[in-house]
Amino acid sequence: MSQAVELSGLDTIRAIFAGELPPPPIAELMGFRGAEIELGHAIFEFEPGPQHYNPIGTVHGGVAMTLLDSAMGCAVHSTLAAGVRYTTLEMKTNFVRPMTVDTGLVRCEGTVIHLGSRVATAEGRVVDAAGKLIAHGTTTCLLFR
Amino acid sequence: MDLAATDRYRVVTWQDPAELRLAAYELTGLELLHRIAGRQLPPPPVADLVGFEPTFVSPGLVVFAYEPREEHYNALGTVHGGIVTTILDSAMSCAVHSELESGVAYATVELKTSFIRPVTLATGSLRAEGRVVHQGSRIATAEAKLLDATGTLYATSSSTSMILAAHREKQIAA
Repeated sequence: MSQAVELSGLDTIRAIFAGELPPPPIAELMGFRGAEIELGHAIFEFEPGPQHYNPIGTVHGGVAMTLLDSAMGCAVHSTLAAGVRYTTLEMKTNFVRPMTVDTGLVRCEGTVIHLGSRVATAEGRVVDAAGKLIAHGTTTCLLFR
Repeated sequence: MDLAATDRYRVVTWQDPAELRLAAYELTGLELLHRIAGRQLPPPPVADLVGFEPTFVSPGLVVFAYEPREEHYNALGTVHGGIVTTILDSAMSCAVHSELESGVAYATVELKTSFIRPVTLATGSLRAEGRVVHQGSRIATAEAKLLDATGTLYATSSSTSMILAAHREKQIAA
């Protein structure tokens, strides 16, 4: 994980998505993978399973938020030069439709909205294979240049 | 399972969520949560996957305990914000659920989290306190805090839930 400070953000994420750097532990635990990365834009893929269920019979909202935080965080990270670090200050999510095992493969897209010297903002969407919206969110990241 | 010498692993087991789902329709929210906390009902799968459990359940106030794990780390070397949010979401949702009658369902429609301090393995045990702020007939709002053993604040959150009255009757009719 220490390589993250020696490469640019975009190169770090490209290397993780290509399997040249190990994925972060959270990606393996939750079962999502990086699909596409370009400057300011990241896409993750995820297949919901029964292990993600809450007591009311749907995928826990925290799973959608974990995906959104990853996609939005990587979108911000992809714009950062080597040695620049960031952290998420806050995020807000709207849940539009429940996610279940019947939902099938979902995609989560994160896009940078504003990139300042100290603060960046991004938005994200979780959609199913037909493009139907499941959840969307926004975030604020603090940058350490 | 093929493991490399450098691989670290965790085996996750969980129980069929069907029993819990049925109980969620049959019991009041408070009784359901008491039974999960008392291990008379299986925990929801996500609690086994992530590793958190209720330690205190009362009407409108639910507390969860969480111990940070290395497999929750993001690429930056801290616990992923999604894990922090998952635990806060659970505490708030269960606080709302604890005030609902049997057959009444709910769904979180929006949630916002502020991350105050990074969580790492060195942080040690954390507790998430979820409280109902407003419980209406159609909408409930709640707030939650993530605190360590000394009361230091790590994250705060607020949420809005929709109350789905007579959900059970609709299920039976369907």
